[in-house]
Amino acid sequence: MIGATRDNALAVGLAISTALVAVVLISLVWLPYDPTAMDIPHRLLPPSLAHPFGTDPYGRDVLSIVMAGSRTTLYVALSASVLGFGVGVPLGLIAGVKGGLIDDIVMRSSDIVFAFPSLLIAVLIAAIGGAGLVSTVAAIGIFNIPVFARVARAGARGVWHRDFVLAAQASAKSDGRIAFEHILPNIAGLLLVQGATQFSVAIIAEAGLSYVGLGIQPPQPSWGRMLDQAQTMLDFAPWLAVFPGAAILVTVLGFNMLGDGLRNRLDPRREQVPLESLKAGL
Amino acid sequence: MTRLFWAILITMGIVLAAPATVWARDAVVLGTQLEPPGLDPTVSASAAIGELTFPTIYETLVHLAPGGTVEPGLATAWDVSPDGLSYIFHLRPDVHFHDGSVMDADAVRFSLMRAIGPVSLNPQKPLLDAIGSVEIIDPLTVMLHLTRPSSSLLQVLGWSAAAILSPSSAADDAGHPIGTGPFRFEAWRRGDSLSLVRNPDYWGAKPHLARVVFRFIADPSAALDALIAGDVDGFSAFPAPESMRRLAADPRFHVDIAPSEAKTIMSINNRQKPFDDVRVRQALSYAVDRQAIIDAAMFGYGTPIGSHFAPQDAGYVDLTDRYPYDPALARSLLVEAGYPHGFHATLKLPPLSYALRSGEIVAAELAKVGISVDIVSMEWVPWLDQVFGHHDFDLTIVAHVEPMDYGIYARDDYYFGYAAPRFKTLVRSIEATQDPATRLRLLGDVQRMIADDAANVFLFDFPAFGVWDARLNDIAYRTPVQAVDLVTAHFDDSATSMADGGAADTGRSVALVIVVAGAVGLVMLFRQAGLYYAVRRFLSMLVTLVAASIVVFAVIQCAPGDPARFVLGMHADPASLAALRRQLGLDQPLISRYFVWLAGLIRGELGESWTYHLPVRTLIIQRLDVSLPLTLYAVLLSTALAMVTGFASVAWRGRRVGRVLAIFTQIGVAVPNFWLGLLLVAVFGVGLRWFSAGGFAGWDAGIGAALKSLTLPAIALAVPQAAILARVLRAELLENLGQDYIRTARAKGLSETQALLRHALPNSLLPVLTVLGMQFSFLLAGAVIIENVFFLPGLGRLVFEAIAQRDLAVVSGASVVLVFQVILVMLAADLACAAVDPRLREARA
Repeated sequence: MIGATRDNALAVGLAISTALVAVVLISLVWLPYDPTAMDIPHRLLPPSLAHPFGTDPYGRDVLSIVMAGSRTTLYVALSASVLGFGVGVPLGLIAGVKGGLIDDIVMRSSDIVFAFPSLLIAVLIAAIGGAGLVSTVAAIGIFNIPVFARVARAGARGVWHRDFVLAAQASAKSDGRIAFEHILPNIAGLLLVQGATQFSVAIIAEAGLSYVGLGIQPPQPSWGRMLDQAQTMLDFAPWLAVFPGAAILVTVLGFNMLGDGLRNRLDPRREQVPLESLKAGL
Repeated sequence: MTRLFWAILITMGIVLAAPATVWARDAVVLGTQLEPPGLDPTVSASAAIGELTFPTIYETLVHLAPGGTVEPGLATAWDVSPDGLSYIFHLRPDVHFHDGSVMDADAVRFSLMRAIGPVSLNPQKPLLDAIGSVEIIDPLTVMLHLTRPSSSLLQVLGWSAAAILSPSSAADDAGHPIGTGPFRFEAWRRGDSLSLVRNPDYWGAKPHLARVVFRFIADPSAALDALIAGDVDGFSAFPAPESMRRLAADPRFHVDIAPSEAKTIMSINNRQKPFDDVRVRQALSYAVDRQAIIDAAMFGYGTPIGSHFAPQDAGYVDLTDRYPYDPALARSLLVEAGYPHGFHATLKLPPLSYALRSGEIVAAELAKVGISVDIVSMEWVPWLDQVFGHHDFDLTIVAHVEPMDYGIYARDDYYFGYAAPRFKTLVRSIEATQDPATRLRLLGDVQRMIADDAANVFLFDFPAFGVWDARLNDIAYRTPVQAVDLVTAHFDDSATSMADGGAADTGRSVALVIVVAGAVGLVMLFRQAGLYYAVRRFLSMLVTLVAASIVVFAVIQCAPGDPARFVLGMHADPASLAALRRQLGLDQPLISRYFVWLAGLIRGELGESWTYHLPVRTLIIQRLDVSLPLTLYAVLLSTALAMVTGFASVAWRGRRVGRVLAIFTQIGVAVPNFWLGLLLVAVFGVGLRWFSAGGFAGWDAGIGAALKSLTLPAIALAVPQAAILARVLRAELLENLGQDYIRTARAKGLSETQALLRHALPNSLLPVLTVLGMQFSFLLAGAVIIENVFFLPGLGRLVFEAIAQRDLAVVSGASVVLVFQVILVMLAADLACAAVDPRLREARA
């Protein structure tokens, strides 16, 4: 029974994630309608064959906007994850491998970052840098760095005493090369799982920031901002809130399940929910 | 020790469970879009001030009736000399200011001379300074000597900028207004509300209402929620026109869409290239399709205008055909002006729904003719500062609500900078004209000139969207002064209004209970976890806290904007700015400023809010009244839900129920909490009306009402957190199930459920506790988004609004408090884990 569920998780997760990527790629070359083209005589139409998700108050096709919004979502989530990964993993590896003072500094710094509620960081960065794409990526990315650092560090320390590392040291390889050539591949699975989790977190974070107006600015489409605009029209145009929110839900669900599935692959003995990923998830 | 703990909790619980204070139906809560930057309409151009304080608190010499006729106000009669240079006013006897002093000729002279004085910031100074001097004939008679004839003077004397102030208290009016009106100032809770009470000594008909509270709500969705939930009894200018039809059909509400002077224009910075070229400005006018904007942004409500004049005003000329929608013509004009490839411009928008919505459409329309527009939406104070004060903008959209204010096109210092010399001449001749027919003709010329020069793009005049509780009678919206007449307003049946903006004493004790309980709990944990371990963790926490404070300080320093300018306002002179900077210590080196700030923090002084002139500590405590209980509520709900779901999904893991539960938790983790909040509002708040759908009832309304208003937000917050927690519990339980001691227990004869409950569950609590700690911290600050969905005046919103207002003292103070509680809660969670599991007390890295 448990096995069946776990295989399902990976399969479903993979399916949804692939679908999202497919939507993003398709949207780069084709969209049912131009998402920015206002068509005011046809505004606020309920879902129909011509407009499967209906139209918004300016007559724009909601399906097209949702599809265009997937680009923003993917871009922000990917950038923030890459930022966290690219800075956090090397930091964590160094901390795990060298130990000592560097380790203390890295851990202390990540403690400090974790002391800030994630949304506060995002809001502060938006305050300084102004709202918009760059601030949003920076805000979400900065919180990712200590997360990846911790995972990388834990992984490095877990692997450090294994035989192949000792062998590499015996052949006088520098710590850096050991880290890159031996440790990294062995913790790649862990990092991938964490990456999937951070990806989901980034999606919700971007939606939230855009909802309160600090994230992606018009005219770039954003699922979160669509929800804000839909609020006063819930009684006569509920489709405006339902579809963007459902898009967020499905996307996050997909990447979560992908992460779960990957984790179960790595460690089939148990369903594990490492605390690091939870800290990240909050 | 445990018994003491519970005793304290129960006692405080009894104290708090005092019966609800029911407001008699002589108090009303009104929603208003903009929070004024101050409460003195004679020193700032923000119309938001007059909207709330006039004619409630302040009054003027004359009263403007609909249609523009001038009626007696504080003056009972007046005469104008034949040459138009002398005005004699006979003042009403026996009128007192709210501070007790008498309204007499002295007060009138003081007020008028102050308005035209050299340092005056009066928005109508250019019109009022036709007055050269004010002569006191006797205590109830004044004579105004004009330096030039002014046909508009009588009108202007009826506007809020001409309010008559008490000489002894005028200096404090911005924070503590004193006037002669039917209502007195009670309290201003920054970021939240302004409250007035009936003036028992009013000279005229006493108001029926004993209390009026204005709540600041600009967001269309929050406004709708607050109205429908009954947290607000009405709006005179409702920000969501899309809801008007639905509200009109709802028998609970009375909708009054009244003509207003709100001339919405897209202002162009005439001083700046390329807008100094009339062809470019004309191109903008041709590129904009007014009707489309009215249809889409205003949902059909609005009348197109072709110049800066309201259609209902005498002298109006319909110039809407001067620039019909013609993108091709716009393009050719741009080519002619030398911009064949168009150009780039920014459109700075104030936080008003009509501006934001129109802005989107205008940007799209301009893009079609090659002008690429960047939309920058700003908060009110920054907009006033940058656009209105420093003229730092290309394009902006705002409604001008003063009646007959074409004179702004003659002012050199006005933000859009039109001021063509021949226009100034035209305005001067209108001022000098006494003949009505000539005046009307000249008014027509004014409109034509502004339109021909395409000084701005004239969009539409939109009505005042008044929506009131149907039981509130005789509340009228008065044009042309854009004022709501509250004197005759009254409720007509025994409906009680629970909405409140008053004292926070009861609320403070709720936050206090939680803090005290937390402190007691922490002390107990210290003892349980062992002193050695506790002290080590505590010291580690202190180090992190200090480091975090450095980060906060550094971040604040990077924020753009000059704090001194924000305190003193945009008209401040350099000398006062420098003095204030010295006083605030802004000229000191960074390091010493940091230590001064840190020392203040340790003493508990978080500084003073520059926007609201209140100690930051006070503001934070007020907000914690909402945030702490909400967080606790959400955590309790989340824990309960998670324990049940997590446990059940393991106990029944072989069966379908177990799998369904597991799927639900999987979905629950992926749900964005604000989307859930929206759906909950739609179904339970607006649709079924089981719960309030917005706003906080206030602890004064009783625990039941307050908790009810927090229920939907708590659920929205709790569900995703519960899902996470449930999955943690499930994982831990499953892992423990494989352990030897469980096998032993089963071998002893325990059923699996019993084994789970008695053995696995207690051992699974450790990570649950850690996660709970993280969740509490996250919810306290991270609830800012939920606070936006439900319009709760919590801590998250405070930080959010403070950032918009560039109120760095609040931002740094609140950030430190939030960081402090994160670290504190982490410490508590760590201690709790050590208390539960003795193995952790020994060595811990």
